[in-house]
Amino acid sequence: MKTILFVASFTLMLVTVYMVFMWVPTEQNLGVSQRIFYVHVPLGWIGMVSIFVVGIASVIHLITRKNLWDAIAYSAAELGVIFATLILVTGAIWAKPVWGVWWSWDPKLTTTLILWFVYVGYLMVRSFSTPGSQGRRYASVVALLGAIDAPIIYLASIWWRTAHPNLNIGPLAAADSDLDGKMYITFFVSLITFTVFYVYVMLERIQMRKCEDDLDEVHQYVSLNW
Amino acid sequence: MYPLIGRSLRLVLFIFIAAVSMLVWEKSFVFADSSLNSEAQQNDPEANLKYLFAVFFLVWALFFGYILFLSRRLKEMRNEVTMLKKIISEKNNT
Repeated sequence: MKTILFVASFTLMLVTVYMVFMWVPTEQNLGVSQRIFYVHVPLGWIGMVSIFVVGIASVIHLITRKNLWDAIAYSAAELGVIFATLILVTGAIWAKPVWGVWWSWDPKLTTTLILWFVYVGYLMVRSFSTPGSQGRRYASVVALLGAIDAPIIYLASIWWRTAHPNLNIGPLAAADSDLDGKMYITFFVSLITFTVFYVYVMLERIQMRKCEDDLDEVHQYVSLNW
Repeated sequence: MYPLIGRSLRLVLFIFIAAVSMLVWEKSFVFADSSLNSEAQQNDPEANLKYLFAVFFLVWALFFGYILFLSRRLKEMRNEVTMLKKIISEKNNT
């Protein structure tokens, strides 16, 4: 399964790079910088998916106390930091040629930055808490608070005046989008590519996290008994 | 066994340091300077190609960096297993 996902994500990455650089037409108003859209928006999608995964896994962990759900939440939070960082960095790089600034306190940008801090907060709680279930429970609460931020980010461009364009993805996506056929195809291929890659890395990380937990338990046992 | 700064937090610290370095390197990150977007740049559709390449470079660099982090962690875990095996076999022999 994981081998298939690895091969699929690698192949799809190559296809996406080809489509973004060679196949898709250049947008007339924004020029070549508009192609950043095909990376930036899928990264945003994965960042949102991650916080939902962290939130749902944390709730289930709080109810069942099963370590598997904690491993899922932890892995999703770690990947969430990576993707949230990339959302902010790619957004800043895109903002420079389009808005003339690297950063503005736009509602969508600000709420995304809050999401980044939530992910970092989750990992900090995990790192600084003592081994055992208490730290996991505290981190789960942080994750739940962070999950509230996801719909706020999504709806920011509707609720507040923002420089961001209309929604292109999700239930409230604008029907009268500016994207033409080839742009839409490239966008969805990129979206699928990043999703497949995310699933692959998540599965790898969850497995490694379970091994880390097992190893920590053995370490504890050895140090206490021998 | 349980370092004060966890492995994931070290990764976050690395990202934070990289972001701060970027701020120091590029002062216009903090202070908007629209004069950089000259009219010539706006007229040329490929003028902003460097931004597109920068995005792809950063995305791939971070992906590979993360995979490197995971592989190093895997190596650490293998070393820990070897060490534990050694401790257990020593204890069994005595």
